[in-house]
Amino acid sequence: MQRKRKSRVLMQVAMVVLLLLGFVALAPAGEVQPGDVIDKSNADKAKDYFPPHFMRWITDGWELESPVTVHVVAPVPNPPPKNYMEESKKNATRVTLLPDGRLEGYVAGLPFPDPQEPNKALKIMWNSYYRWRGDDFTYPGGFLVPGKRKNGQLSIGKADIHFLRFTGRTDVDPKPEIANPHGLEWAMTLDSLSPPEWKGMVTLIWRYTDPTKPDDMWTYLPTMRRTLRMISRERSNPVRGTTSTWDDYYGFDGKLMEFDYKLLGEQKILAIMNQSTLDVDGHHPILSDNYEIRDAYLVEITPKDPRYPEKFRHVWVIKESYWVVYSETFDKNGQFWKGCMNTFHRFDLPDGDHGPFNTGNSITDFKTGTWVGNFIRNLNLNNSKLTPAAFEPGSLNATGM
Amino acid sequence: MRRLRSTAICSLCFCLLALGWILVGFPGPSFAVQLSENTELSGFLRNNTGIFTGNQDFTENNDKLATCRNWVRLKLDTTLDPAFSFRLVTQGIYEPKYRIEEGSTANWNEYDELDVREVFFTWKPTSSNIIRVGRQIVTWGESLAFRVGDVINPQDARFAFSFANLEDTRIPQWMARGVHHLTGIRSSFEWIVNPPITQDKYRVDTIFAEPTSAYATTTGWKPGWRFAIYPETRLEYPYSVTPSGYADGVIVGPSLARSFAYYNPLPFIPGFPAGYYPVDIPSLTYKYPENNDVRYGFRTSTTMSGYNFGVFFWHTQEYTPLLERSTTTHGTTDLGLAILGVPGLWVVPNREYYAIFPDVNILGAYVNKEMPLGVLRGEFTYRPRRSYNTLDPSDEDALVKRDNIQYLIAWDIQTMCRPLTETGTVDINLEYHGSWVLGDTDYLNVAGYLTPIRREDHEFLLNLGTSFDYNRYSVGITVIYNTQDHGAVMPSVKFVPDFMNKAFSFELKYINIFGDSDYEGLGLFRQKDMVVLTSQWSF
Repeated sequence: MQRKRKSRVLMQVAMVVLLLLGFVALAPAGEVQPGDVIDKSNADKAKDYFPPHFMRWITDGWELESPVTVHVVAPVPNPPPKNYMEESKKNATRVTLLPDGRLEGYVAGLPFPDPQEPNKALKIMWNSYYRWRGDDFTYPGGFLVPGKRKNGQLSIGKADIHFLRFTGRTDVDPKPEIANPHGLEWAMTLDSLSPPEWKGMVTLIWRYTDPTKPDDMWTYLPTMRRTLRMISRERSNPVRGTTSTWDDYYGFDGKLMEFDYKLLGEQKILAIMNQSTLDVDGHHPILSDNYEIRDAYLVEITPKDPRYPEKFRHVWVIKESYWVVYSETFDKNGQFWKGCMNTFHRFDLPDGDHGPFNTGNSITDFKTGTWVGNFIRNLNLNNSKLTPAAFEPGSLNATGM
Repeated sequence: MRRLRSTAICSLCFCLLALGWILVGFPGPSFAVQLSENTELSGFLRNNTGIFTGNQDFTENNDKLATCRNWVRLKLDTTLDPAFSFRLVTQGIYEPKYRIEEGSTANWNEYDELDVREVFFTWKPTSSNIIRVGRQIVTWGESLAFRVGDVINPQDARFAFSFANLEDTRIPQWMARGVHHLTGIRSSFEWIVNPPITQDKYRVDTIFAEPTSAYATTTGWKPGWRFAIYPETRLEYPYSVTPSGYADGVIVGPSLARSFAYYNPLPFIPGFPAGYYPVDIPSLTYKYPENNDVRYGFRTSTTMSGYNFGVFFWHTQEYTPLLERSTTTHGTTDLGLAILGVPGLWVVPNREYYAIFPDVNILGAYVNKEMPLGVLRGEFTYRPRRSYNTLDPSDEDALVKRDNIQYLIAWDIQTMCRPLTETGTVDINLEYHGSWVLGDTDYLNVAGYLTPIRREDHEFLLNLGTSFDYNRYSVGITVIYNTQDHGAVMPSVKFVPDFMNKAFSFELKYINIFGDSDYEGLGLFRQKDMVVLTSQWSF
């Protein structure tokens, strides 16, 4: 009897141990704390706080660059501005997800301030699509666009962006919309300043409020002194001689209705949400900087178009502001192909508020061992004085340099 | 051969010196030079070296150096304040004396220049209004290769051959130009006022200035310029307007087809073909546009439902002159006496001809739209009552008016071709360009020549290209085909090394020209096949 009781106790203990072991296996490898410094000597500690590909940046820099050192610091909130969040709150009762995936009743802010099932993944991605990024911005002096291959330099470019949001405006008058006969959600120009082969090229992109409508795109070519209508539907085509596609920017910049979404889970991740300095030389795709723990959604994105060159993409969307902080792209065979990392900074706004803005972006093609980055050093946010006239195709010939 | 080598060595030395200067002056990544916070200097050094692949039979030697053109272009941009900016573009071009042109009347520094190419102020009083005043280039239209709506800047024929891009062939013009955005109606309005202030060197039209056309003959009178038309049998009976031999003392002006008796033969001298009978002895006077012949026009741009479209109007003068036969004569010439020694048999008047630049109004429209399978582009121009030369002997002034229409339909496709290239798109451009003369086209001729102007002309362009290895290598081919069975095939390879931030580029292009007709279109140049290397450093 005693023997029987003893074996039962042993079994219970074993079960508890197994259960504990299971928990240990499922839980983060080590509890990362503010003050930790993660490098290749203790990289395992952080392996559950990063996308799988990122760990090799810490262990050997993918043999592309020097290994990265992660300084874990206490999180400093970097949420969107109050005006935007107030509009977001209103959407709880204002916005409806239609059966075809479009939104009804959306004006501004996050369409789904508290995304829930059904279609939670799609709601998260709608939030990411309408994430706060100001009503207008430029990068005075241009931003750096470095590119490197495994054994050498590709180029160091400079570019500027002029961005104007026509709808969903929360910060700058007129709100929430600029009179807009074209039906645009936003428009931007990408002005190449260097290298010489791209210098003077200006690309104008129109994004319509109708999510089913393809973008329109024009490019002013200084070598021809002519504005050409561009093909904008092929967003999976490489941009200017890199493997980065239009859809790759910001981790994911695709037309939302052209993909299916699946929520794979939630995860605590380490990310640069308050980049310590903008004075980076741009010669490394991943910054050794201060990383903070954030809650993120992990979403799998699958293209509907069978011609699309990816099988699927994983994106990590932070709950605080719905920016994509990391993405991983897999080719048609399901092989890991590209990785993207975004960094952020908390910017002061002219109205006294603050907002999170993307300051660094790098896309690495691990098949060819090449990366292209975008690093801003200066930002003119919500104060650019841009007007719709600057985004007319007819203005490119007149203003193009 | 020895000369070619020495010319090549000279060019090489020039390039090495230039390269040394570059490396000393610009050791860092290739960004434009920031002279101050608001002033930037950029530009390029370029060399075109081309070799003819075939023999040039009508020259005095076997030299094959087709071109060795060296360019330097500097561009200064300065922003004086947010509303006011200034640009200055200067250009220097040097070409060596070409041995292939020895013995011709070619001026060896014909192509050299040191010029202020563009200089203008831009004023933006408001974000919707831009005014630009100065010497500038304006490109209208949708075509990549043909000049349908691209009507503002005349073409500099010195640089019109295939290795120069369209941009380099445009002659900048002094003008005032405004662009006004009317965003409420999704449109913009552009206007231009262009007084015909043209430098003298641009006033010589090569049709009449090029000595080859007039003098190069199979009998070895004088060799041609290197880009002269070939074969020069064009200059012999029955095609020529210039006799292959004539007596000293007879004044014969430039090739003026109308001065010969093709359509009103006077076969009173047995054995002489009709084309050798001058009906008058021409003298030629250029009547350039006067200062009050202001060119002007406007263009609209509207974007609606994915279509970008507009209309335009341009009042100008023909940039290539026509020949007006005047009623003014200055005595007579006794050709019978001069040629045959028989006085009074063949007496013709000494007639004054004018090279004129008639007014022309160009009305046009254009549209572009992205479609599911690519971008559609189209443009159309209508020139009512355009002036043409005629060989109709009953027409006194040799000028008639006809309506002319031109149009373009183009299709652009851009796609990936993985795994052929991971970093470049495959770009395909297809263009069809048509031209029609409305009404009777009998007797219409290219000014000065017997070459007929056809009622209709159709040509096609195919561009196919892609790049590899992060734009390090680009390959492309351009095919131009005219339904009169002439055209060109131009494959090219371009290399842009990573070195110095991709500031250098080297493009090797083969230009093959074909044509059934020796007297029309690209058939004129069908023996001018060449290989051209274009090397450029930009900053």
